[in-house]
Amino acid sequence: MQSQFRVDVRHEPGGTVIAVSGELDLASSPALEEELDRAFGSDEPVVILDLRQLEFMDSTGLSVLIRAHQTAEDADRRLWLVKGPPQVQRLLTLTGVGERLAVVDTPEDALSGG
Amino acid sequence: MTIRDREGRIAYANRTALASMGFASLDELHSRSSRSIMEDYSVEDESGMPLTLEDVPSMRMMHGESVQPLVMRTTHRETGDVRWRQLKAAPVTDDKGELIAAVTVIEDVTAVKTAETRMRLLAESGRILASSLDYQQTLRNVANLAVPVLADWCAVDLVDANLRREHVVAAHKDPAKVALAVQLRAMGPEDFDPQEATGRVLRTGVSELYSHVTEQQLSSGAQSEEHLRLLRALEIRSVLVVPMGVPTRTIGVMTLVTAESRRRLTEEDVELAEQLGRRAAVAVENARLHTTLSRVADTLQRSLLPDELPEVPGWEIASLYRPAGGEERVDVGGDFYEVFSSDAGWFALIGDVTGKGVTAATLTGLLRHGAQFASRHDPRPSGILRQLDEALRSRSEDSLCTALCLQLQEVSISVSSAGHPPALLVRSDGSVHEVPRTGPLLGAFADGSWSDETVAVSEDGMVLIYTDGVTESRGERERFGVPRLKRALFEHARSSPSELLARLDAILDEFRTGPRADDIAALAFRPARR
Repeated sequence: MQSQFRVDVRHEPGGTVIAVSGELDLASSPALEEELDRAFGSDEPVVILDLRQLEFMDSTGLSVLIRAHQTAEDADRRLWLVKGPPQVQRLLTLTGVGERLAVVDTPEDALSGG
Repeated sequence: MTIRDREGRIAYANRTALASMGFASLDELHSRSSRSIMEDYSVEDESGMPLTLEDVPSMRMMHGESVQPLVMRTTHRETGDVRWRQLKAAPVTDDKGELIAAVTVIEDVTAVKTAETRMRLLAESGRILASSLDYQQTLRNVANLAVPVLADWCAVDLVDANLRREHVVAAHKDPAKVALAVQLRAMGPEDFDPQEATGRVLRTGVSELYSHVTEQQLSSGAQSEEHLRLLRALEIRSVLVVPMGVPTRTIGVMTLVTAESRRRLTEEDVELAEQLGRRAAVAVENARLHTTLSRVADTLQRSLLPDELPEVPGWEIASLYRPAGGEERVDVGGDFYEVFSSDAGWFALIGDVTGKGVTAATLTGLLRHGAQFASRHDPRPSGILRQLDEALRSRSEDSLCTALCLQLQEVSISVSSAGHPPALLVRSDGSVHEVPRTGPLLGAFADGSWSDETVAVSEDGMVLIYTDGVTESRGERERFGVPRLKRALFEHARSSPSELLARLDAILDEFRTGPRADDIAALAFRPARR
């Protein structure tokens, strides 16, 4: 049941889109963290994390999201989350993280201002 | 190059061939039969199978059999010299086309074959030594590395920091002889005598080679008449002792002994043996560290778990805890639970700290004990969670956990949950009710808030709280999930809490494929039967 984790970054006029796929867990979290740090380190005001291709996320993945939310707030940026599949959303809803982050259905929704 | 005639006799051999066979002249060669010459040697093919005169290409050719180039290894029984040769035979026919002789071209391939054998041994050793983290197995693997390719016997002696013998393992092609070796080894002194070879190698880290072991050397090494008798019976030819060293110290020695093969160990074997010794030392240390780590994790885990569940008046309670990884784990988990009382009453707490390792584990201790203190300041479950959240957020490094806290009241429970899987309640009509969650996980947000949900528990109702290790357990095609858990609860709602959890444990074990990826913890409660 293991999936390879991938992070794909693309720069659009409206913001940086970071799309993840596979399983986000202890092993793969650092890779995502790195991309998020890079995005927030630049002067890109909008960062969009696309979870649509994510198959699984555990608590380490969750903590990456929470940290990213905090970083965005501190740095006065906007972090959007593109809704993931049911099992990912379930974790976000259960832990109360989902309702604190700005969630959209597609990257386009976020890029056009939400 | 040699020429063999129809009678199977070597009619001619050139100077090189004569010299390599140890003869000064052709006459000397003719003074002996081919068979007796061959008996001076132990002869094998590349795979170690013994060869006879009949297998030699020129003989096969003279007997009309098919002929292929043959690579053979010869060990001179007297001198212990080892040589590799490739033999190619070609026919000599008379003008009628009749086979009258076979010409054999002999190529000495000792250097090439030796190098090849060594490379293969080193490659194999890398693979074998990496194959196990089990200490005992690694030791056995180490001893078996050199046998039979490099030596007939191999003994590994491990010592502690005071040079006291800790462990002894021996290997030989023949398992029956291994027992003998261990017996012999046990006859040696407990402490390594610095004068004796192995003691010296341990102390200096310098290998020692005894190409031709003498009677005198045997006697000086023997501890008793019996010992000496056994040593003599082994027909030891050469002994090579190499250190097994890791950067910090020499952890033992590897002793290679040739005996019945009559092979002589030489300077050329020293480097290879030393390489094996180094690799073996690293492998053994790794295995040792792994075992120690495993034991430390175990001890830590056990010390951080609550002891016996206390008796809660009016309630029957039971707990289930299974750490991730099972027996082989070296890491400590982040699941925790506690049942405690304060002036305000009895409470149960269950939670899951993000991450693994010592940091996560010590956090569980903080949270469990913190909850008890917190209940004195604000006795509501939501108040306890709020205080735990504050404690987590005040820490410098990220500390997150999901948790559920409930108060056990007379005929009800008051529940507050922080991002944790909801408590499950089985009602008297068999329905399973999820207590809705009340707030976000702890340690994440500055503006988190939690509330309390009071739920009536009927006389034959059952409450179950658990960590997500239960529902996230991986099976063949999917994860365990909440529906299966609810079904288990429904089916065993009439059992006692401990029976229910025992059944759940069994169901999860059967469902799971592979070792546990995450800790599993659960608490079950039922109003006490009157």
